[in-house]
Formats: sequence, structure tokens, C-alpha cells
Amino acid sequence: MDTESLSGEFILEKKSAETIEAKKIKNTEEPPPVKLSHNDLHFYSSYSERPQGIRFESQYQGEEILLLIRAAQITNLPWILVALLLIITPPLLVPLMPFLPNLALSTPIQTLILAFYYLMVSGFILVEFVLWYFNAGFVTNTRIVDADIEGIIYKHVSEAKLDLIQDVSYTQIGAVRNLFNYGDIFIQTAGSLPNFEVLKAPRPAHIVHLIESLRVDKK
Amino acid sequence: MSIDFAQLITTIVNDQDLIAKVLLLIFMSLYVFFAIILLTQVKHLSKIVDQISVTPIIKGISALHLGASLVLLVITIFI
Repeated sequence: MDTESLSGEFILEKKSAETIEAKKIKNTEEPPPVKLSHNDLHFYSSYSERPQGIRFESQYQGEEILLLIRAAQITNLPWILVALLLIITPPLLVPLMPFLPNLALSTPIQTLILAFYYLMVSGFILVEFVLWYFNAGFVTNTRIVDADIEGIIYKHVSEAKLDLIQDVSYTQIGAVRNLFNYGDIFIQTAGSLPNFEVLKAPRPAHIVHLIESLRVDKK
Repeated sequence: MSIDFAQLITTIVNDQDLIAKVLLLIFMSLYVFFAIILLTQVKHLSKIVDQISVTPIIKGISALHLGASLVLLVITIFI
């Protein structure tokens, strides 16, 4: 009975050893190298390879930016639509003004209210653009830098060296994300280093593949 | 004396322009404060991400936004 049990365990052990070996072989497979091209960088660029004319705060001398990532352009659509709605609202309301009861503001005050309203709309547009624009991630030849801006008074910048990255993955949930090809990228780093989340990034599969190949190159 | 005070209150309440002006002054003062914070933050953030061709324009627009807020506040005070 004991012998049977032992042989069974031995067989199981053998199988698991084979599985481990197979996993090892799989893990040593290097992703094919990715060729990076030079992209023109615009104020609306959400993805740019080897961008020229951009730098970040802690960039070392000689450190090359390989990739600039911002949230996909399509993610700006909601606030752009809201802004357009806010812009066209006052002209639409003017015909209704005579029907408002007991409102007798002088023309200068009405003009001031309107001017203040449009100033606030411009402020809204500016804030939304600034939040998108400065929320950027960089992949350089040595590390990954992620600048997170939430609201106008919160900022968080984190970075990790490429050889300390353990795992890179992405999720693309929903029809809109699949249609416009954007998703969330998760970068897991070793030890107590912070993990990265690049949210709503364009071409996530390509970025993950690129980071993977850079990581393998570093190792 | 109490009749004068009541009349004064009635006059103020009935003067819609005055009420609107006071409210505008309060909100515009707060808005100028917000515009200053926005400009300061844009300057700080420009150091984190500096796109040479675009960042000065964003800084300029933020400064223009603050300038417009101040001009509007001054106009409201003197109108």
C-alpha cells in the first residue's frame, strides 16, 4: 500500500516537474523586438514613439524618451461635448428671457453675468485639457515614469527601472474601448516599489509588447 | 429711524442690479483665486512634463485666463 502511494507521488512529482520545465521554456521565449519610429508630436498627441521636443522633470542627461503615453484622445469626448453644450446654452436661452418673471437687470449687469459665465466655461475647458495633457507616462531607455494628476491640486509622479519590472498586462473591457483600441495597462514592479497603472492608454497591446521587449533587453 | 431702515432694506431688496453686482463680486473674487491657483499649478506641472512647443502656450492661456478674471472683477467694481 505504501509502495503504491509512493509510486503515485513519484509520478505526480514527475508530471509537475515536466510542467515546470515547460513553463521555464515558455518564459525564456523572448518577445520579438519592436522597431520604434519617429512620430510627430502635437498638443493632442496621446501616443508618440521617440517624441522630439519633450522632456520631463527628472530626466537624466542622455536618457532617451522612447514612448509618450497619454489617455486616448477619444476619452476627451465627454468633456468636449459638455463644453460645447455650455457654449451654446446662453444663445438658446435668450428667447426665453422675456418670459422670466420680475427679472429686470440692467444691460451692463446682464453683459457682466454673460462674460463671467463664458469665463467659467473657458476655465472648465482649460482645466480639463490641463488634466489630460499633464497626465502622461514615459517609457525611456532605462525606466518608466508616470505622472498622475487628479484635480488641479494633486500630483503624483512615480518611476521604476525597466529591469525591476516583473509583469506587464492590460485590460480592454467594453465595446467602446475595443472599438477605439484603448485600455488600462498594469505594470507590476519588484518588492516594495510602486506598481503602475496607465489608464485609458491607446494601443495597449502594442505598448505592453514594447515594454516587455525592452524589459527582456535590459535583463 | 426704524422706518428708514425698513425703507433701506426694501430699496436694497428691490434693487436687483445691486444684488446681482454683490453676488458677481463675491463669485468673481473666488474665481480670481481659482485662476491664480490654476496658473501656479500649470507652472509647476510644466516642469514635470515639458513639451517645448506647447507648454508655453498653455502657460500663456492660463495667464490670459487670470488676466481676464481680474479685468472682469475690476469692471464689476467700477460699473
